[in-house]
Amino acid sequence: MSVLKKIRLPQTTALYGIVFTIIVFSIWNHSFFAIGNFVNVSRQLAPLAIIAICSFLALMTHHTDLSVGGFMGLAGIVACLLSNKGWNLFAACAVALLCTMFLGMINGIIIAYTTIAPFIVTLAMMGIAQSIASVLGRESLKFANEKFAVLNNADVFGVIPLPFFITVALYLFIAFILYKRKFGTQLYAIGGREESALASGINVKRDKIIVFTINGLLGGFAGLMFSSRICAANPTFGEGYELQGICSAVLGGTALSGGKGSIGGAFLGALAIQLIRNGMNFVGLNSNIQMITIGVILVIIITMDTFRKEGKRNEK
Amino acid sequence: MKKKLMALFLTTVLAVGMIACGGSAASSTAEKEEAPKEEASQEEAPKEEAPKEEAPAEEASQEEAPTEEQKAYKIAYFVKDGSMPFWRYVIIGAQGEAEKQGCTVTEFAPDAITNAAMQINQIEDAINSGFDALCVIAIDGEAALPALQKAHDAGIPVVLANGRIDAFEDQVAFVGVDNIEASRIVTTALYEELQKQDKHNVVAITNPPAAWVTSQRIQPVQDLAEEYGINLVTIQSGEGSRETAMSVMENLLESGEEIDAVWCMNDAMAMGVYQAILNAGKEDEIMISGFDGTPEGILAVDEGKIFVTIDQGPFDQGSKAVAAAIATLNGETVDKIIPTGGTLITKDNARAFYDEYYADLVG
Amino acid sequence: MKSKALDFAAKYSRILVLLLLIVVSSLLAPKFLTVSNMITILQQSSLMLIMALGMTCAMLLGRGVDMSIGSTLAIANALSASYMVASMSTGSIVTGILISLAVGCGIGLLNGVLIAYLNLPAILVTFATREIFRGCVYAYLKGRVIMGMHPVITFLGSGRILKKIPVTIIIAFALALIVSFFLRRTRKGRELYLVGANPAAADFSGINAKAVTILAFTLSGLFASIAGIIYLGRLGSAESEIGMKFAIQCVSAVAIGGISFNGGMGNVSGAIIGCIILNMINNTLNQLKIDPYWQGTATGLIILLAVILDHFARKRLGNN
Repeated sequence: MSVLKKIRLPQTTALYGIVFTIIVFSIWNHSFFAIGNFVNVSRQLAPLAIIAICSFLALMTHHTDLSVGGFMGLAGIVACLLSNKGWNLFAACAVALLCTMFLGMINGIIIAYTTIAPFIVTLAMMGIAQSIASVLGRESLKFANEKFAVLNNADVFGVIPLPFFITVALYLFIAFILYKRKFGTQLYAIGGREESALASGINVKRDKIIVFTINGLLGGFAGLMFSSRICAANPTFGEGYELQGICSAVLGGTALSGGKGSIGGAFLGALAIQLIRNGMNFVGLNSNIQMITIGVILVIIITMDTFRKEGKRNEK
Repeated sequence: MKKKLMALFLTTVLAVGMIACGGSAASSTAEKEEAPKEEASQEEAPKEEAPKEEAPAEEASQEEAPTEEQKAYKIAYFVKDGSMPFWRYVIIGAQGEAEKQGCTVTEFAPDAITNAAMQINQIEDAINSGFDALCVIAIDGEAALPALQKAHDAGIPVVLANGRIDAFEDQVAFVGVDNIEASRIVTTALYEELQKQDKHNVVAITNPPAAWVTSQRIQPVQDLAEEYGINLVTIQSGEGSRETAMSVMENLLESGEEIDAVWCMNDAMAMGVYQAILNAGKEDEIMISGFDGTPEGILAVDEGKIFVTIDQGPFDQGSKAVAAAIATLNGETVDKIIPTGGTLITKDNARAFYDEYYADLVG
Repeated sequence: MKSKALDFAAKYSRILVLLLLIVVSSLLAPKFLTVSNMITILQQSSLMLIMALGMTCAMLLGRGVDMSIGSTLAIANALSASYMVASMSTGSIVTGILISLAVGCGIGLLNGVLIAYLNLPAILVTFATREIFRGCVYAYLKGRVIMGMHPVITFLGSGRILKKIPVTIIIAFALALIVSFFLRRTRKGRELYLVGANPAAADFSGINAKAVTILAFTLSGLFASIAGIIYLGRLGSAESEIGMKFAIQCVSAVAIGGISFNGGMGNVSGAIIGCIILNMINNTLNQLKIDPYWQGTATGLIILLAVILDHFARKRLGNN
């Protein structure tokens, strides 16, 4: 596919981060560098990676979307409630995704048509989504239908974990839209300079609404993937993921000011963060040190990238 | 080119540094302290366990040492949160017991007390990274089931503590007092006293709404209300946090509602509520009940600031869970239910309780 | 000149929103509009306001938000409290406060330098420092709660002047005046605005953007530690869990108050109103005994309503 050529794996911070992480933790604890572990990481990766797409898309329009974490919890709860009532799993999930899409669309409308800071809008929406989820399911709910766990446990061709497969497929699909479809070009244009995009006739409002609706959909989907790992749903699932998604996207080279960045970078960023967490668990760092470490690693990785950028600039 | 080399150099130095530090962190059970030295850290484990925490795994005095060679098992202990006093004491108890038996305990906690997902990831990672046994205090029992089952299927014994997960049939043992049971004990004590004083109006301040522990502990508060003629004025969330609980209480006091007692889901919130009541000058009119039995809470009961709280036996949850895990690894059988804690702390026993368990630790 | 009119319209409209909230709340909750309750709300708002003052400075730059203030507060408290309870003399209070402020400035400085010199996004840097210092305070306190504050500290946090007015409100008010003066009348303050509003122009006029950035984030850290001292007095203890949600609450308050995320717009009075609105909502929800499960929705909806109303009001008033 020619699309693959466009996802030029960029020399981003994230790549350094991944290599660094794998080397350090593998030396530290040999069982880190094992197929079994990497397979496991690829399963754990799915929710974060999908949220990273949301962050990427939002950042492309100069905005941050803080509500995706709340959508994760809401989707899980809605799907669980419906499925426990006897609904078909697909139908239950579909309705759950429709709900989060709807809320995402509301985000988009408010953000597109007013100058209200998206930070506030999406923050409020996160609270609303989580609260609705809490009201619907007052506590942790278990999926009566065990088949739901298939979403997490199945393997494609017997080897590739389904969550990973789905994630990559999603990324390829989004990449296709970004690089091969008008919508993608428009998005990059908006990201570059919104006024110019508007001037060249792009319907910026409509595109923003689409972006946030997609975020609603993907956020909900990430929540379903998450819930399928444990065949349970809880309103608080997904808390904190929105920030981690932003970190992933930024680690992967997406500029906070919008317009620059690639979707592949967001994936690498998510992978880097997940590997770091996994690695820290593997070497048995206690929780205090884990917090300090992840902070320090983030700073190191970003600093290294700054040197790299500066080095490139000097080489010109 | 130069900058690239610098970056590479930096990376290598840092990598080496991390491995060097990390090596010692992984093998010993000590925690690194970068804090200023004037801080007197009194980390003596409670009296029944001998060695200091800082010391690398020395041979401690083993009064009940098994006669054969004790394998140095690696045990992973999962707690709910990295900082709250209660979980600290659990880990102190756990590590004390482990050192006595020549094993190591590595502590895992997520970044937030509601982050069940992270805990599950950590459990899975622990299964893969070569731990011999798991002791688990689950943030969300329902959600943890598949991971715990995976551990059992991989031949790793799992001991549960603090929160019962009856659905997990393959658990080695449960150590502790169940949340619902403990709540029933403390709630009954509060309600009985209220009934005696012919008072009825109770406000309940809880942890975050959708947390597993919230839905468990709040049950007796609602179930027992009718029996004791209690009017549950409102249930509000204090987010489990001292300062939020204080603000919530201030707001409730402003509302003009008649309040005779405040039931708090943990001791920290109870202290926050106490501050609010103190500022309003109502400390003699309103009773407070807590939960957890932290040193602060126990002292508060002793001083009459809080009426009652319940101890959940953190040290024992730590040490007995580890002991059960080690015993299982050695091939012995253990009791399915190992009770700890559940001691009601009232003015009568607060001082004695504090002196026995916390005086050396906290000072 | 036009922007001055817009600014005025904006300030005016936000007060309108606040008044609307007061009216609705007092209709719903009988004891809302009492002096006592108003003072309670103001006191709670004051604590948030102190942090918001620092956050405002950081956000005016337009480089992003400071997510680390909660951790800064926690570790500043832990270190200063443990020093102060070790020796309860009056001298130790001064030193204790200085320790807290030093920690706050230190962390703020670190943030500022990383953001300015390495050109890193603020949200990422402060996310990292948030984790780092939260881990530090956990490791330092090891679950202990430091109790027994000196009466002077308690007075700062819980004391009242003339039996009615909490000291906290006075401190916050004084700090707000100082910051407002700084932002509007001093050179550095105006540079802050310019760097946020028009970085190119700022560069052209020879403003050292790096220095201004470092200053802004240092102030953010400093105010977090000041708020921390007040919390020591209010809660009577230092613990490691304090401040987990402060950053996001603070940003919400400041954003409601009209400080733009792109920088260069907003002022102290906006921050004040934002803090009051946020705390007022919580107060009303508690008083009305709203089911905690619904409170997230209620708060979210009210915030949305408030900012939407404010937006339209601003448009109308701005167009006149």
